[in-house]
Amino acid sequence: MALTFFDANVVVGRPRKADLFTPLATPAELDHYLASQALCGALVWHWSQTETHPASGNALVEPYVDISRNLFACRTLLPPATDEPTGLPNGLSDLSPGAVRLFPESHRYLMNRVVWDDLLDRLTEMRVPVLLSTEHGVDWGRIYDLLRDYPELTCVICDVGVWSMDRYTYPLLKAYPNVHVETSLLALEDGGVEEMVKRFGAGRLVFGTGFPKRYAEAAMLQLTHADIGDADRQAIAADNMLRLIGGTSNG
Amino acid sequence: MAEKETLRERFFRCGKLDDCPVYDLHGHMGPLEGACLPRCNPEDMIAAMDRAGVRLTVFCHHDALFAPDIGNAINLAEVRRFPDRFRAYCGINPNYPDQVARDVEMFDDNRDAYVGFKFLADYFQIPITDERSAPAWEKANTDHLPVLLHTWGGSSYDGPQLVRTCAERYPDAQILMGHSCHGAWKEAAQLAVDFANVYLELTAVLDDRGAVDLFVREAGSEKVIFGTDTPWFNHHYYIGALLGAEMNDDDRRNILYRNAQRILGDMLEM
Repeated sequence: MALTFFDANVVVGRPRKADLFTPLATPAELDHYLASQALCGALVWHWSQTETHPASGNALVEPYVDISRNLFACRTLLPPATDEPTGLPNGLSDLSPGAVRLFPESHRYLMNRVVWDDLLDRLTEMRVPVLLSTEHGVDWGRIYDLLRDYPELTCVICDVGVWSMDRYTYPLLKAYPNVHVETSLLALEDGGVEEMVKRFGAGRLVFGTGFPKRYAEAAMLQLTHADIGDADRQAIAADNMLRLIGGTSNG
Repeated sequence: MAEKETLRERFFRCGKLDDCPVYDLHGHMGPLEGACLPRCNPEDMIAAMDRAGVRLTVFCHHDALFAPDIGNAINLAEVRRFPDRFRAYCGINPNYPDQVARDVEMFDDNRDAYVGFKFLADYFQIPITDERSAPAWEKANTDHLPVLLHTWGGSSYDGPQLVRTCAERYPDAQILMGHSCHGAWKEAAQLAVDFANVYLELTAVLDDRGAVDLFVREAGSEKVIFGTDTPWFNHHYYIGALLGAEMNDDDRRNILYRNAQRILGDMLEM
């Protein structure tokens, strides 16, 4: 079965600190990545969204966006109390189609109703997915706090960690119907994808690679040969995330 | 036509390849305190191995590593249940020198199951150079056995400088640097260049893009060993990472099976 992949976890731009991996530093390099992996699209965020400021980061991600080709932005918000600009000229309507990433560690805020007030209620109503990366400063306590206060929020937990995190993720998947898990590191856990599909259904997983920090082929080969049905495989590979952000696999 | 296809094309199409078997030289077995492992019993591990074409896994059971009261008996029992699919490392915990002495003394009686020793110094908090581990090192050095070390960049128990000391002290032991001194990638590659008996092992390496590319570039694919920490990490994930790294298919074959076959040698026939 030929799978169509949509990558929900791609970071663009150059990070503050150079690493071994080669970054995707231009829109042309993102295009090359998509073509080389035969991806039908991607949801991208920019390093500056966490390492500089949401306003500059949200501006820097814009050149990579092309909704006609299924290239969507994951933009970043700050809590409302400080009234800081976040580079969204049309406000929350700029978020859709697309998604949001929150960085509570680097941006120094808590994740609860006291901090976010009704802003996350509005995202809940808009069904804009909120991506939370445990690799980028969202610890499990913060995720539990956030969902306790916003139980209907559409949420995607990314980069779940190199150790099995099932003892953290299963209670969330059971308690909150709009919680999803991105697979770039879940795929690393032997049997992790299969067990999650068996317990909660394929609709709760979305495919991602973590490229360019991780090898795209790693999560792709795992899903290609995972011990699950073909319909579930395709749902995870692209369909689930495209449904969440309002795109189509045809671009 | 098949011979004109790349390993990448064939692994994506088939999932496993008869002409490119996989030898996993860094495995464990059984449940673990810090993680839920869905496929940790030997039967499920073998099913996972079959899906990816893993011919043999060399492991040290979690109980053997973390429960001194259980010790290595469980390693021997599981290899003897599945002798075509598993070999074991004799786990060495130098916190208990009396047990180390017994394990080394019993090693030759269990050569059908053992291929070498496993050290986990960061967890046991005793440096790999400590005298309490010496009986195992000396046995490995005399018999040219593999020693799978847990190694980590910056560690005062199993960091690069300590590996260098062991490589100098035991030149005939086959030192597999588990995790390749994680994070200290260039120092690890240099150790593999400097010492014929030191190898870079890939567990917990392949979720960082670029490290194995550097190893092949600096030390050569003949010095890189495939391992997954199975049942922690998925074989296809790791094979996929190798398919995405900058190297050729000959390098990938070295890493996936040729180097392991060379290191294990006659022990595969026992």
